[in-house]
Parts: sequence; C-alpha cells; structure tokens
Amino acid sequence: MAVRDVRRVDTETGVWLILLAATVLTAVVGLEQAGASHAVGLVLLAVAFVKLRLVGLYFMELRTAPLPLRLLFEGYVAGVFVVLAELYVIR
Amino acid sequence: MTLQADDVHSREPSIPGQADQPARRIPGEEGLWVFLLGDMGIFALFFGTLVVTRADQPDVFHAGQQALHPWLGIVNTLLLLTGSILVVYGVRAIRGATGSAAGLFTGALVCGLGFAGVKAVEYSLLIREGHTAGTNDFYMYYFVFTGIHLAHLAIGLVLLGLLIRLGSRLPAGRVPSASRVRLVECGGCYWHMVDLLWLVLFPLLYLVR
Repeated sequence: MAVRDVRRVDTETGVWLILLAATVLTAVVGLEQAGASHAVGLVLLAVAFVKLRLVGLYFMELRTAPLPLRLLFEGYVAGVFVVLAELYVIR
Repeated sequence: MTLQADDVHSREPSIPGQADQPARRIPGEEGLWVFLLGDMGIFALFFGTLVVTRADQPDVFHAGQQALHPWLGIVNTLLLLTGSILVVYGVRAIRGATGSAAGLFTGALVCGLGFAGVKAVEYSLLIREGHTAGTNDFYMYYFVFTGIHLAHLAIGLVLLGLLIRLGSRLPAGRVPSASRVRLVECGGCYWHMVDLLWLVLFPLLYLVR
C-alpha cells in the first residue's frame, strides 16, 4: 500500500517536472522565433493543450474519474484545441 | 493509519485483471465540475476571441506582444505549476493524515501570492510604459483576460486559506471524514483550474504570433 502511494506521488512529481521543462522549452522556442510562423504557433498551442490535459488527468485526478466526466474533459481539451488551431490557421 | 486513509479511496470489488485499479470516483463534488467546466467554457471563448482578433489585427498584436515582459509570464507559469504540485501533495497529506497538509497548502499560497505580485509588477511596468487597456485591442484583451484570471486566482487564495485552516486542525494520524476530504478536493481542483487556464492564456498572449 505504502509503496503504491509513493509511486503515485512520484508520478505526479514526474508530471510536474515535465510541465516545468515544457514551459521553459516552449517559451524559449516562442521567444526565439524570427517571424510569425503558423507551424511554430501550432506547436506552441499543441504543447499548451498537452500540458492542460496533464494537469487535468494527474493533478485534478480525472484519470480515475467516471468515464462521462473524463470524456467531458477530454472533449474540452480536444475540441478547444481543434477550434483554436483551425481559427489560427484559416484566418 | 494507512487502512483508515484508504477508506476514503474505497475500492470496487475485485475484477479479474483490474484488482489494483482504484475505483472510478469524481474528484470533489459533481456540482463543482458543472462550475469548473462552465468556467473553462467561458475561457475557451476568451481564447477564441484572442485568436480571431489577432488574425484581424496582426500588427497591433505583434507590437503588443513585443512590449510584454515574457520572462515575468514564464516565472508566473512556473509559480502556478509549483503551487499545483504542492496542492496535490496537500490533498494526499489530508487523505493520508500525515499532518503536513497545512504546510503544503501554505507553500501553494505563497506561490499564488508570488503570481499576484509578479502580475502587479508587470501591470505597473506596462502602465508606466504607456500601455493601458484603452491603448488598443491587444492591451484591452490582455488586461481584461489576465484581470479575470487574477480574480480567479484571488478566489483560489481564499480557498487555500480555508484549506490551510482545515489542515492545521488535522494533526498527524487523525483521519478526516470523507466529506471533509471531498471539500479539500474541491478546493484543490479549483486551484488546478486556475493553473490550467493560465497554461493556455500565457502562450496565446505572450508567445503565439
């Protein structure tokens, strides 16, 4: 039991470290880009939504939530990303 | 003690191949999720507004982005993420009755106050440089959306204060009731939503060109 609890905390700490690293890396990429690039912009958006999903699944514990709630969250992440990406690329 | 704490995470009867899987359960309360998802929906409209207006006024948005102070935004992102992991640990401490929850929630509160402090510095720098909400659409959206987010953060700080108080009344070994744990989870999930919204607002305002 205790071993399982430690492992769970470690998983979330790992997610936190990934989130920190992704924040710094994408910030450097975003600030270094020479001009307006849709490709870079899309990557930055995609990473943001991956981070958002990680916070939801691991910090908010939606990973173990009932399926309807998890699907609502997953739908939000995917839906908002697709709409924003489409608006960003098309317009 | 561990067994008592595990009562909170009631497990479903053993199913072959799923014996170690925790029971699926709603973090906090159902009503909380109606509010959180509703709020996230409103922010989705904010995100869309930013993308559409940027496409209509690319030069205004590019110039506005150049005048922001991105490293302050990065520091704030790191502060919110660190506050979030401390809240995760705090919720675990409540469930496990380790007695360390109040300290962990206080750490998260400090991160939140740090975020507000950095934001105040950034606002004052921008205003001193002549950029206000009335300057153009970029700054209008910047101040309005980050201001609304800051209001959410302020509510989160109040909730963290309540969690600290609750945690300080639970010494090590005293297992809280299930309803109290759900209350703590509600506060925690709200705090994570504040973090989650910033994770999209930050690149849209500071990085995506």
